[in-house]
Amino acid sequence: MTANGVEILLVEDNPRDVEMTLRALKKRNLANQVHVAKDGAEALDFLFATGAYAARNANHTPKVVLLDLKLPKVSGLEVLKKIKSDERTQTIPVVVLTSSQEEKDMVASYRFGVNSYIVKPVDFDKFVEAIGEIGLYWMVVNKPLT
Amino acid sequence: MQSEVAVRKQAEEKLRETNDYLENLFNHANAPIIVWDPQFRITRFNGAFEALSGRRACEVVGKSLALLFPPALVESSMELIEKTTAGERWETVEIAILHLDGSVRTVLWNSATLLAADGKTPVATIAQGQDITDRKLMELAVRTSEEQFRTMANSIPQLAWIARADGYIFWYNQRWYEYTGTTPEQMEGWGWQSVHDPDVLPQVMHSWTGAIASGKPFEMQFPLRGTDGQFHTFLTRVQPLRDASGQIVQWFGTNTDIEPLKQAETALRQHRDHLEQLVEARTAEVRSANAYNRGLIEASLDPLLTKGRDGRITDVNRATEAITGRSRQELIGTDFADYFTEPERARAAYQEAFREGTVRDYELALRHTDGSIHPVLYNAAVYRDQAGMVVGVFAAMHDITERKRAEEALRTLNSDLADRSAELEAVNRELEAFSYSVSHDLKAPLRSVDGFAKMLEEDYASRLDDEGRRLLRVVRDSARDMGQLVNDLLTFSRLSRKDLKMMPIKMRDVAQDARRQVEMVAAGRTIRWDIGELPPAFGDEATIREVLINLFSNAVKFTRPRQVATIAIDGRVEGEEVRYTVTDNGVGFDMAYQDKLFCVFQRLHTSDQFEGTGIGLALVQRIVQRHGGRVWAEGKVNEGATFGFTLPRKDERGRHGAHASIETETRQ
Repeated sequence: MTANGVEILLVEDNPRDVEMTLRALKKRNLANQVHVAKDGAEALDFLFATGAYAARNANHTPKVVLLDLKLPKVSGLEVLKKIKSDERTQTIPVVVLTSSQEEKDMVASYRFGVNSYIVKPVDFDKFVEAIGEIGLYWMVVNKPLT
Repeated sequence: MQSEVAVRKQAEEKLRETNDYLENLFNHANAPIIVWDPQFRITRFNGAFEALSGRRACEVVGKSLALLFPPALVESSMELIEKTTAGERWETVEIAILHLDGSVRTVLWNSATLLAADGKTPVATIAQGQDITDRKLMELAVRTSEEQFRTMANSIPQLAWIARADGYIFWYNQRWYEYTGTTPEQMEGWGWQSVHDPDVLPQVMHSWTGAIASGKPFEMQFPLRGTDGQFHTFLTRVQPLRDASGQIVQWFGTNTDIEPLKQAETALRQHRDHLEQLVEARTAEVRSANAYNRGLIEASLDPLLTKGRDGRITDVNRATEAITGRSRQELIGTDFADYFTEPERARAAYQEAFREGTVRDYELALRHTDGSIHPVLYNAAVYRDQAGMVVGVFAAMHDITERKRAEEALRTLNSDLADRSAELEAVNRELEAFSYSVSHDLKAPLRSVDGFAKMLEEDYASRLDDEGRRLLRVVRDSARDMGQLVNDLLTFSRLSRKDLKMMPIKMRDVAQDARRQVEMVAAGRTIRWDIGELPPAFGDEATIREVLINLFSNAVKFTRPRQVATIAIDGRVEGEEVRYTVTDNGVGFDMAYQDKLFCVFQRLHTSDQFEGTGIGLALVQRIVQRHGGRVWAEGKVNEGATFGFTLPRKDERGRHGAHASIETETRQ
């Protein structure tokens, strides 16, 4: 998997969720260009080509970021905030994928400029459906700036 | 011859002796003696006359008698004297003599005229006098005093009389005759008995004769008849009058009419009795009032006391004894200020009361003999006597020990409460964190259970037999159920904590909204909805929508066995609230379990019959209660159910839901 080919950045610390998400994307043939960051710090390093990703071309941005909110090190909301407050990244669509139905999380996310807020269903069938549709929408239907 | 000479000599001697004798007799006689010649010139004037007239014999001999008389009486006196010269003899002629000091002496005279040898020619007249001046004065005095006595005796209000030593009455005063209507003739001696009461008379006689016999003063009350025939009681007093030797000469008696006195006495006694009764009654009243007042004072839990002008205690009640630990006897007469922890401030309070008339809620502290300190509020007011003079101060103290303690307790409580609030806030924060954590951490593994079970199913279905696939389904169903439960719990917790944004609610719109949401998961069902014109309410629209969603989805769920489900929502204004009901034609419920309906996790049906977590109605109740409303349920097995709730019609400021909803409309 090359950095240049990344279309989807999945920021998720739970490997099971990662596996299920990838499986859902795979069903829509979207899993090939997914890069997984296991915490917020890694996500930021990837996006801004810092740290372990210093060699990466920062100009090559993913088409969509699927972001969990509850993350080790740097929280999802902080990641979102950084993305949306930086000129280089603010046009990247960010979809929050979370278990939290907390209003404050939703409000904060929208305030920071999230493009979509999805509560992960417990029901796997619905989960697959939701992920698939998100992927399809942002990867295929949506026309990005660049 | 010789003998003749001797005889002559003898005779001369005798004559000389006689003359000497006469001369001595004349000069030393006690009575004044005077001799005058036919020309009324004084020839002899003895020593007694010198005393009577104050003149010396040598001065007056040879002078006219006229100088001896008071000028006004000279003429009349001389006429009497001329008669003696004409041969008349005085036996007792009264002629006054003027003393040289100007006083006039009354003198009784007798006289003799000496005639010459011819027996005709007067040679001299000799007169001897007796000075009766003192006797005359005495007579006058007696006459005057007797007159005075009678005048007095007639003027006194009493009857009066005088009796002889033997009791024979010889004089009555005028009042006696006036009262008895008798005459002196009828009364003289013992005639008085006729005006006595015959029944009492023997007793009177006995006492009176006894007094006469013993010579002791007499005193007795007896009746005497008046002119009108009525008897009046008289107090009679009789005093003996004695002469120099102590012999009784007269009795002087008075009778005092004591009838008016007796009547007055009777009246007075009656009056006094009446007064005594009044006084007794009044005393009883006062005593009972006193007892009542005293009772009140003693019953007072507040220490009360009175102080005199000098600040010393004059009275205390039991509460004062209790708070000071000192007895009434110990307290009275002492300076109350000394029992306070700050005597000077206490004195100042007392002085302020005297100066201003009152002092209010002065905070002081009393010291009990056991050393305990009692904070009190000191109130005092001066009190006055009937003349309005300030007599002392009435002081009342209110023991605020308990209040202080309560205040302290309240402070502690408040601080505890603040601590508790802080704790509670902390707990709330924890709870939020917990919910957050639950939503992520609990749901994530569930999703994995379901997800991986599904993967297993997808990838290995061919290698599982039917039982294996069934078991996998159970795993997945359980995971989904638990996911639903967690979601419901999170919703319940979130809506319970959510701040309510109270505003007018257009209930019909909200109901339509809820209906649409519920219908999405009721595909394939035939439901007849009846949502009429609902009155507006006042509340938090988001949570009220949850209420309707829950009630509607319940109705949808429990009407599943019906070919055609009917779900109706109705509402009407009742006083200050609006009452809404959601009615369905579902399976209903047994009213016996009515009160369990609204409890969390309480379910009346098994999951086989109707799925559910048992949270929905609990959430409805929680939300409605947070709005200040009530919830209830009515139903019968197989005959449908009605769930009701109330909401306020207007907010606390009186803003109506209906009116405000128009504003909302225009804003939209």
